Amino acid sequence: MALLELRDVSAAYGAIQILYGVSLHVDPGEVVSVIGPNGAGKSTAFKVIMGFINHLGGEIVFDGKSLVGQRPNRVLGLGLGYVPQGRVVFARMTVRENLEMGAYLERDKARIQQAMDYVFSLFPRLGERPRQLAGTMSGGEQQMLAMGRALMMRPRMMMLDEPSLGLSPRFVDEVFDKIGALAGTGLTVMLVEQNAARALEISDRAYVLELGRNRFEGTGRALLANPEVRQMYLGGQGAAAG
Amino acid sequence: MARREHTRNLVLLVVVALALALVPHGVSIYVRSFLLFTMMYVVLALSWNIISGFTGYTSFGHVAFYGVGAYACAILVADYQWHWLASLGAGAVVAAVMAVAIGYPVLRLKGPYFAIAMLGAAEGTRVIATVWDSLTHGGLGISLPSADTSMPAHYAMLALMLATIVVAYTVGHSRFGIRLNAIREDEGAAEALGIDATRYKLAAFTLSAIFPAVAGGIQAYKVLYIDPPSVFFVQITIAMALMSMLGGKGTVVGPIAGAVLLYTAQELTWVNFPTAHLIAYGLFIIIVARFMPRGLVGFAVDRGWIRKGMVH
Amino acid sequence: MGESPDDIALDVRDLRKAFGGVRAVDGCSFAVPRGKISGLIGPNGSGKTTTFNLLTGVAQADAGRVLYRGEDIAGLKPFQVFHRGITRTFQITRVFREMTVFENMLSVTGLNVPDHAARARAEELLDLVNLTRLRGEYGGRLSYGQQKLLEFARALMTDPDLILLDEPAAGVNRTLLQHLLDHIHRLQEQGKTVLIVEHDMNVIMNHCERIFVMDYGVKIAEGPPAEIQRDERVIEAYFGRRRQS
Repeated sequence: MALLELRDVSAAYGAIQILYGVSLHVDPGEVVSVIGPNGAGKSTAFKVIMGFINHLGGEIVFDGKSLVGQRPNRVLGLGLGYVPQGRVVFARMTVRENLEMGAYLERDKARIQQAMDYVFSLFPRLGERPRQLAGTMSGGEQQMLAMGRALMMRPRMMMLDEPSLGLSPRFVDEVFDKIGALAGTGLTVMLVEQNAARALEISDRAYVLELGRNRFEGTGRALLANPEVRQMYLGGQGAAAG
Repeated sequence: MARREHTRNLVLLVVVALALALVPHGVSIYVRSFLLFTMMYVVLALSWNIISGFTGYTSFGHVAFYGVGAYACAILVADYQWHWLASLGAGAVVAAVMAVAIGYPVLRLKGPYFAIAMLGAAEGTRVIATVWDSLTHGGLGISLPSADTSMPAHYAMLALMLATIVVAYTVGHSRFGIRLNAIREDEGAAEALGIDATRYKLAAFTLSAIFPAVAGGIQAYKVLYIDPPSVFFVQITIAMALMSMLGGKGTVVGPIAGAVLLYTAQELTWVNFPTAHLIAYGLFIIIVARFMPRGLVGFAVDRGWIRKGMVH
Repeated sequence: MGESPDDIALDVRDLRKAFGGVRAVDGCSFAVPRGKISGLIGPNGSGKTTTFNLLTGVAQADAGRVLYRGEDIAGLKPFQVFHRGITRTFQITRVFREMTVFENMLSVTGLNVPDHAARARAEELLDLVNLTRLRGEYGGRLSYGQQKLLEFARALMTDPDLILLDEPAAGVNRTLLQHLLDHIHRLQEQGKTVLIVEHDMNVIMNHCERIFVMDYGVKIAEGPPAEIQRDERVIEAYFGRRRQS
């Protein structure tokens, strides 16, 4: 059974509809990417799952429970971790404090410490400087911190929104390495990415969205090899005229 | 179309002017004083509205200009034996210069920061008036030579009010006014349409400073004694803002109606509920803010009684 | 100062802009051809938005020149850029909400004509975009599409020679987009130059004669749509590059 499933989901930002009946699923232990050109609605898919925006129709089911109408803090409590776009870290807090904020819903101090140890084991560089102010870290390190923070609640599935956005090539390598490592621990990962090539490289399966609708679907490898996918990004021959 | 309306408005104004010119002879000193204050508040509210209503830079320090005008008149008449009318002109000039000097740095600030900076400017002016006693007599205040100033002050204030109304009306119905509104609505978009916001803001700010200064001068002349607390009275700033907002910020009729209504209401509550008048006043303000946030004129526009916009 | 050939409307030379340590625009050069519709594209973070802001005076370049009619306009403030004959629209509409449609049109400066002529021009443009019946309505009450049209009409009040459009297709339905594109083509037929910054590839590929592609703060390719669509560097910029290990 799929861990996360979207069936025919439509969503809007206020009055502007972005998703028109999108369907996808993520099985436990998979790495699934959602890619597509700008305006495809990739990030919107995450936002409607998390409950940040208006759900217009369709079903969203996580671990057997419907997420429709749930508030974001409840969704987090159900075992979904979310790393929003843009490395949103608390710049004036330390690494440790940022991670503690990630465990906001957890009361048990021992479990919080356990989670922190777990995050430090996955991201040794964070463990080396727990008292560094997040705002003084490099882009790549901030991305690690944002991911670590989402892991503090020991989620069953992580949703990463454009983790490579704005990072220099060196950090892009590092971040995708880390995502691969996370997947290696058995964590289910769903990825929205602009850098389609990299995302498809590490994905078991992927969905390609265009203008809020499903366009292609398949294994990472198959989509990488499909020239139509590439061409779609540049309004290629197959695309409808304006 | 618009010309007919302009003519009608002008006729109305002339009628009101004539009425106010004839009235003071047959009424008590109290009523005359009431009319003087009402006219003064019309001037203040309309002036405040030029920078805060049209241009959207909400000033909480316009009393600074009022006070400067009062002091200009008092100092020049008492210490330098100027004719009081000339001193009003001088007050206007000083206020204009002050407006440019203060405006240039302060108008770079946005919204609440501008409001607070103006509050600071008003307080600063009050402190200077208190401390620079070689010029202003400091805390002792200035006494003007005794005279029966009630009638001349009335006519001067009437003339000032008419001038302010004409200027505010002209600004409000002109391309200049539209551009001020544009700055209020979206300064960045206004700049993209060629509006040099810095210059327009400064012009509006200076214009809004001149009339309160003259009003202050007339008051000084009428009351024959001023000191810092009596002219740099924060209530004046609050009144200007409230009257303009009650009537309808960003319109011409709004501040006029707001000034007349609010001042009348204030006087009535003071007379009838001397102990509770501030509370009654406050309640009145809360009710208006809650049910008519865009003021009386906004209320009328929403109901369709008045057309939207000022230039048609 | 530097001269550009007559067929170049806007000559961008080696523009640079950094924010903190990040070089958003890192030596960007391109020449916008006169009388044609051109497109400026690039993936997120390519610096095209910053470049657009540098061209319109919203941001100040650290280095580089932007030549328009023989004058370097880099460093001019937005209202000065406007007075040189260059207008722009915004990605998210910025109409004046508490002013009427007609007042929105009249807020434009630089017309140097008597009042009645300005009003006539406003009426004419409103008619062109079919907003005449809404002339007395508040800008804020218009639908999003109508606001887009109003902003477009407003930008044409001074009959500018160079028009910069910031994501005109954003948030707009197909029908309205077609209307906008028709108007844009009409502008080009009148001899005006249009530069469009866009994410919508269909708009760019189907309506621009020349396309400039940016990535990492520089221009990586330029040419007609057919060439751009086949250009490996462009595909890589948008689709991403596989790991080089």
